[in-house]
Amino acid sequence: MIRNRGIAFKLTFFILLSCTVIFAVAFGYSYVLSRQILMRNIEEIGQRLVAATVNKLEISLRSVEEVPGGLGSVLELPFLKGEAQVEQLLRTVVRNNPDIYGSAVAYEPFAFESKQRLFAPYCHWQKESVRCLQLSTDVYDYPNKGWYLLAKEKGKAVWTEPYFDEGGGDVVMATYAAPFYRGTGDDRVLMGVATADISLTQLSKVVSAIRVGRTGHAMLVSHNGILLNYPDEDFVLRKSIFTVADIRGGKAMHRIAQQMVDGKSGYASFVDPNTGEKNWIVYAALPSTDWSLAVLFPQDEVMADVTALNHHVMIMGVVGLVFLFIVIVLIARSITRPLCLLAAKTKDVAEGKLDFDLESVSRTDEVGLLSRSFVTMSSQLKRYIEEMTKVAAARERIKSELAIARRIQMSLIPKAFPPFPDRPEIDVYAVLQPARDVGGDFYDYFFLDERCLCFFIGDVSGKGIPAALFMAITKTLIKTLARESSDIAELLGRVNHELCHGNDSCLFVTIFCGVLDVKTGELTYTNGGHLFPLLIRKGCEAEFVSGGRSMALGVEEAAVFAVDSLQLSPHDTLYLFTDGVTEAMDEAGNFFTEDRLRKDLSQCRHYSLPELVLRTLKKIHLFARNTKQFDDIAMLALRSFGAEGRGPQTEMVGDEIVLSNEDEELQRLADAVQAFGATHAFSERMIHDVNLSLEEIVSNVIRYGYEDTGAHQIRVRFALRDHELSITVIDDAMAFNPLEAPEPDVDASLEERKIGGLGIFFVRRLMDVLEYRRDGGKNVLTMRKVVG
Amino acid sequence: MEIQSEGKMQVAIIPARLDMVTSKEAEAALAQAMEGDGGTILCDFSACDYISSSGLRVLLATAKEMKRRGGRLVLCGFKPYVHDVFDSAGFLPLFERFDSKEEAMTALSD
Repeated sequence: MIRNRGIAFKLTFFILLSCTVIFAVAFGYSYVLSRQILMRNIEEIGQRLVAATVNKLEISLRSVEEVPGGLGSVLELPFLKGEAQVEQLLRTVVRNNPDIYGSAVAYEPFAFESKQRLFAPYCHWQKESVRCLQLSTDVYDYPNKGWYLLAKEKGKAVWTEPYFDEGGGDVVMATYAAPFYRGTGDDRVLMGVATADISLTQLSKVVSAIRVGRTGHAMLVSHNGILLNYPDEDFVLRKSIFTVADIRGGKAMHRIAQQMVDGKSGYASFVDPNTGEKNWIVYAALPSTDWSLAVLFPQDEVMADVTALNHHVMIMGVVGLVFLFIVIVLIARSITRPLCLLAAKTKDVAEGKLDFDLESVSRTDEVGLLSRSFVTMSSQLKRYIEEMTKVAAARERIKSELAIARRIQMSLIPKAFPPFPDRPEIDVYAVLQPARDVGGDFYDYFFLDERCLCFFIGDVSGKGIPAALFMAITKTLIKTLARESSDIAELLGRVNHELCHGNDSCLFVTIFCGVLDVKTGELTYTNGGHLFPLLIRKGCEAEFVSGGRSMALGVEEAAVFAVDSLQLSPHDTLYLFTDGVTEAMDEAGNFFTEDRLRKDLSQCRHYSLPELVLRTLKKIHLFARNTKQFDDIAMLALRSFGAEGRGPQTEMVGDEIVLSNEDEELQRLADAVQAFGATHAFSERMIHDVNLSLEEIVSNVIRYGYEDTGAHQIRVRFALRDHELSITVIDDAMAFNPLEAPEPDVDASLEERKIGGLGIFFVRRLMDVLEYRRDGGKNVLTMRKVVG
Repeated sequence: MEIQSEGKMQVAIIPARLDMVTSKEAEAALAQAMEGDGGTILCDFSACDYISSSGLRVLLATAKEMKRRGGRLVLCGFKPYVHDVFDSAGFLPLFERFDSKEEAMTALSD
């Protein structure tokens, strides 16, 4: 299809087609017109030629006709006496008339001399001289010859049919015979016949001189149709025009022949049945003799010039079209080549290759214009991309700085549990669930000496990097100054003093800090503007710890911190938390509240610490379901067992499975979860949740984690103790922190719904605690969930 | 995954576990069942105990495409875990759903 071809093809095709049509029409018109003109000219020339020839022949014939009349009128007078005088007269007449071949005077029997029966002297040209002879021989009985009888009978001058005059002129001739008389009126008596001959050979010379084209010729026909002149000598006098018609022209020629014999003039064409050639014939009558002259010529020959001309025009046309074709192709290519190049470059640009050269830029035509616009577009695009890259890099830098700050902050928080496995007097468990941005919650615990455990939980006001740094400083200060301070009030006082120095950003931190003598259960504590913790005495409801509330740290350099104390009995639990817990919000905007926390803890007081903390976390999640977590959530629980200790410790059980990065490994993982769950009597729901979480994490790693296609290992560790299941996934994929993944919009409609992030969302929902760190080029993701 | 023609409806029998691996097969099977415009595809979950986000992705894409073509994707026979996963992803309002296949067939043949 033409529609699918290139511009070059279309241009060439349509221009050539149009030119060919125009040329063909012009050529055809010129051919037809030139033919018509030529035909008209030929007709005219033919007719003129015939008329001129007829005229010429007529002059000859007329001059012949004058002779017998003249002779007769002389012979009618009674002057001439004797044979010699008559012969002399004849000789003179013949010599004076070069057009006639010969002349005779033939007397009626006994008309010349009464005793002489016949007398007919005849003089004719023989070569250059005139010869005279007597026709009254025994052989040549003139009174019975056609010419004599015809004139005598008609009583007037007549032309005879051409004949061979044997014994007379001995040539083919036509004779004009005129009778002459003696006396006048009714008394006149026929004396004889005077004649003048014209040699057909002579007439033929005139007729034969006519040539049209190569084979066109003239022919002379008597009024009976006998050929008097024809290119083929054998036809002369022997064949008629009708014979010629039979041979050369068929019916059409027959009609023409009839017209000629009838003495008509005309112009007609006929087709030679032998050759298929078209012939033209122009004919006219000779009035004096009733003969007819025809000029006959083949059309092809007279058309030869026109045909040759047309051939030349045709060749020139074809050569012209070929030339035009080459020119169009060159022009079209000069247009399309840069366009194709441009198209290729566009593709390059689309692929991000923005540096290139275009030759066509220097052109001054539309292609050059397009090329220049294209180059401008590309350079603008390049500049734009560069700017965008810069902006994106800047944004990325800030983002990664935040992430680093976050990671540093989180790394400062101890997360290994149990922290003191060799201290039977105490159990400690804690979680810190950060909000999306860098928050400021923190906790820590450490032994000051053999007996005294120092612990604290805190919350820095504000967010972002300054808050993280402030938290780091606070934590470091406490840890450093704790051993140098005599009591807890002095510790917080010194920390406050240091924090107030150079605190240009006006940050502050609330801290609940305590020191527990693990042997005796004696607890001293001070509260720097923080929430009071809950105390769950063995077998009792949870109650808030009371005491003096001092000022937050970093506000007032001279602040004084009150110290309170209480006695912990074995199996008493102290539960510290930040305001992220009590101010967790549900969809209706209700807070979780301290009272709800107190009641929940009261119900779960017999649980192990991990179970207690993780269940509480889960309750907060369920409460705040579908709402964004605004603040960090930190909880720290201590259970004191006193000098007698907690008794034998629960064994930790574990398992590990190593997967390769292939989809099919997921089934193996599912089987491992099923087996581990069955062994440790997990509920079906628990197995389902672990299964789903692991599939989401591991499939994410397999699908998006690797930039290469090589084989990688993904390690999944299960650890179970005190109803706390801890699953750690370790992989060497590219760094990805699921905690920083964007939350999906679970309320969007079908059309707007995006699927991304849903997997991680499930994991956060199903697991109680998620912790991520990048360690030695590996992603280490720990998921904790209470079993029950 | 098996797709059965029942009346004007195409019924897809969702396997016991619709995870990342089986989702690929399900996606191909559903794409095939979707040929042409209009029509109804009923996904029968009565054998399914487990669905992950990969499975949800396939269902979401299929539902979007069916809606575009003027057809519909209907789900039935949810077991509790599947129901909970749909619920927590906020997917329940997005789909037309029946308790059992029979109920779906009756409702849809009206």
